[in-house]
Amino acid sequence: MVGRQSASRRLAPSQSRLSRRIVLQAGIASAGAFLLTARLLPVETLAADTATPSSPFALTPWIRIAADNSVTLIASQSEMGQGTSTTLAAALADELDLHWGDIKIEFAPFAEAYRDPVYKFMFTGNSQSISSFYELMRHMGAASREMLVSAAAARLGVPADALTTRAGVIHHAGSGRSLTFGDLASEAAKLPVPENPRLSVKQSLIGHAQPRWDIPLKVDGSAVFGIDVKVPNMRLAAVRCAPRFGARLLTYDEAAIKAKPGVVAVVEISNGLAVVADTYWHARRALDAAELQWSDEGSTLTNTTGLPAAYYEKLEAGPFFTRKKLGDAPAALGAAPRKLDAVYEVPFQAHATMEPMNCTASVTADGCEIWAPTQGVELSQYVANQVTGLPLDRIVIHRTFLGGGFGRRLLADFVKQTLIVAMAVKQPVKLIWSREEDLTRDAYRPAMLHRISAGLDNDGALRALAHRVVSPSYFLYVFPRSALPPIKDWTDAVAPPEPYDEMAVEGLVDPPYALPNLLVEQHRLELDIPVSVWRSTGHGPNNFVLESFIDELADAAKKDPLAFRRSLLANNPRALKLLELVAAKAHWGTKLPANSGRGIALASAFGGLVAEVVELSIVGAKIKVHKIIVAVDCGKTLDPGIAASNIAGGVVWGLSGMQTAITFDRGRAQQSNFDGFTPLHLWETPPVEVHFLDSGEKPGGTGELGPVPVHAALCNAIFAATGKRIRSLPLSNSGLTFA
Amino acid sequence: MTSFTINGRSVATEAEADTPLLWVIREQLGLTGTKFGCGIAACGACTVHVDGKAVRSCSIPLAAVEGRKITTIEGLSRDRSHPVQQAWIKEQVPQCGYCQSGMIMAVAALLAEKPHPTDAEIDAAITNICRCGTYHRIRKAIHAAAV
Repeated sequence: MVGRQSASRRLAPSQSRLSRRIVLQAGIASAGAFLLTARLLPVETLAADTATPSSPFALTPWIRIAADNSVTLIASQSEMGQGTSTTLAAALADELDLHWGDIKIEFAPFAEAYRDPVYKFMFTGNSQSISSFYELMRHMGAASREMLVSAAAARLGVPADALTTRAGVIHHAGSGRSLTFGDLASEAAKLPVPENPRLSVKQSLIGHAQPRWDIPLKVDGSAVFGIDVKVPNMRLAAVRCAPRFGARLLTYDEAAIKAKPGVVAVVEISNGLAVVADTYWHARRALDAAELQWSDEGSTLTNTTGLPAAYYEKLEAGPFFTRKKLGDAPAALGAAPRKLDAVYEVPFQAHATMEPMNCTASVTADGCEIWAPTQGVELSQYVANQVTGLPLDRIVIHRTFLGGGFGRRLLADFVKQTLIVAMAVKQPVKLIWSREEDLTRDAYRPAMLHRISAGLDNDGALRALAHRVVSPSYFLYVFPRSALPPIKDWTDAVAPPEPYDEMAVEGLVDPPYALPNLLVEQHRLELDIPVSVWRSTGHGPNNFVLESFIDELADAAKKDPLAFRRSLLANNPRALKLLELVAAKAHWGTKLPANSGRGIALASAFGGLVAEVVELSIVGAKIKVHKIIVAVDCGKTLDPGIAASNIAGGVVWGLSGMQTAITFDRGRAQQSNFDGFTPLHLWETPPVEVHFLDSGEKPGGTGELGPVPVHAALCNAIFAATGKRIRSLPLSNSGLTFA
Repeated sequence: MTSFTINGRSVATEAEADTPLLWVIREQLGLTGTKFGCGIAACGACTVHVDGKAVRSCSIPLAAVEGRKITTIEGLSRDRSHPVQQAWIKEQVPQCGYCQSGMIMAVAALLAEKPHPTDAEIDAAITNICRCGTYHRIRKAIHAAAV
């Protein structure tokens, strides 16, 4: 998995040609205000043929060291607030034996070396950066250290094992001589990358909270997000696509647009219109005057009461694809003395990243440069190839910071739009979506409808669980495309073959509980609106259903919800230990005042485990959440500060998702700004307490763990307080809101 | 022509008088620390100070700031030394960071008016939206900056 195959020496020869071009263009860009990506100098060229005494030398694709001892670590993963660009750099720095304060971090351009080692595709998502890259970073750091030591051994004429490293300096105890990494970088860069470097036994950075490298830039306004990119001769574009999915632009008032100040061009795109002007505000104001007329066609998707009718029809009619079969659930259900059955539903959701979709592109006959806040670098690369016709080695994507990602920025629809507009006006263009565009042209977290059935013994033991899910594929736009047949338009929806399309049932097919008979089936619903992944993916909605229903079963069995779960975890000591921890921290079982309750839920997701207890009280229609206790076993907590931020923020995300929803009327999203789609505010946010319990298992992701059990834990607490069972979200469906 | 002071500097702009202050700050003056989030004064990402008060710059026209004193995140301090910035670094508040310029400006205005706000006063004053959910550290950092 690691070693030479990932090293820069494997870059195609064409990559090197591209690299020279980028260096030149980056030099131009650096004259402007664009500090972040102007430093994105590719590694191979610098090491091979443009090196000067102050140029850095590439020890692998991940590490560059200059003669002045400055060290640059390369981040393959986008930074959208989840902190992995700090943690993975810390893993590199630990093995390299560097002082943390001395490094710089840069985002990589697209190259094979930076692909996810598991999915063989370059992207940031699915809480996967740590589980996919942590060991690779350790190996790359250790390999680079060995290269430096080898170079020192050769220079000093001593054996490598007579040398020690400490904080960027190599010592030879025998002679008292020392060399810095910078002294050795040019020689070390010429050495082969060791296949099996020795990893350090004691890590000094990993396992401890590190100050995030990006935070100083984010308290003084200097961090460059996509929306802040400036390139020479850039024009600004505003865009409006059909508010009804599937409708076409029929007419618009071109004269009215051009009468507005600053307008440069009007560009028709496939399902809408872009106005290009000297400033964004001029473009936006001209677009507002455009009198856009849309065709009366397209999606008929409508929420009347509850979900669109197709969900309920398919829950009855199927057909269903079997996702998981253990034992014989139908027979066990038939034979069970007690049978329970419930229908649960969750709504469509928008991502609503704080930074609306945007992209900057410059396209010439020779090449294409893109500046984008993207999670989907490789997909965007292919989209650029498709739109411009330029070969991949003439396309370079500079990544900025992302003002939130949450899965939305895996898609490349906004990149494609920008390229089309930039090519039409033959000038660099920055295209910015309005918030209205962002919410009404999202690829939404799909609504899901579930029927869950269980059979209990006379003594209350769970004998069988059967689950039917009506859900679209979550993977339509983001399934690693290298695994799919050739695609003409990389922004098109393509569902993977059913057996590989498991995100809609994740968490259901592999629950932490021992179930003698389990059946999970899915109807893969076809919708005529775009849907995709959203922070917590299928785990969030599915855990809401499963863990709420487990609570229903506990009640039916007249058992305490904690005790009932305990009885299902006899064969899962790791999960049981975590559940006991959260219960102890939450003082489970102690008495609460009237109208108050505690709810518990457990989840296994993203390579880790998480358990939560919500304590709340209810007055009238208002829910006052007093506190939320979270226990997390993500195997090994690489950075307890960053991980705790991800977990607490994830809980807030989950709570927001209990009060927001997108509904449709004939294919039009009915919520278009934060007045109709309102995430949690500070005043609604309850205290969240996070406890880590390291099991020593392989590290898992924390970005999406927090929200997974919070829906069920909260609804179970509502049941404990009131006896009212919530089977439909948002909470307003049950007449409830947060106090 | 509209004239005002921004971060201690006198400026004049020929932008149309009805242009939202946000876009004047970002596009005419090149100060991109102030962010666009919603355009309807709902999220607070665009918060700046006008004569010391927190204002959502996406929703006030340029004409309204004639002769006024504006401070943006870039002008809060020269070196991240403002107590709110220091508290933000100490408590490691930002995640994606996009809302944080506005958040910091809203908090700085609150502390200028109420040096030791209670939780209830914080709840009432800080109504900006953070989609990463950094609210716990925001509250902690406000109290830290108030010391």
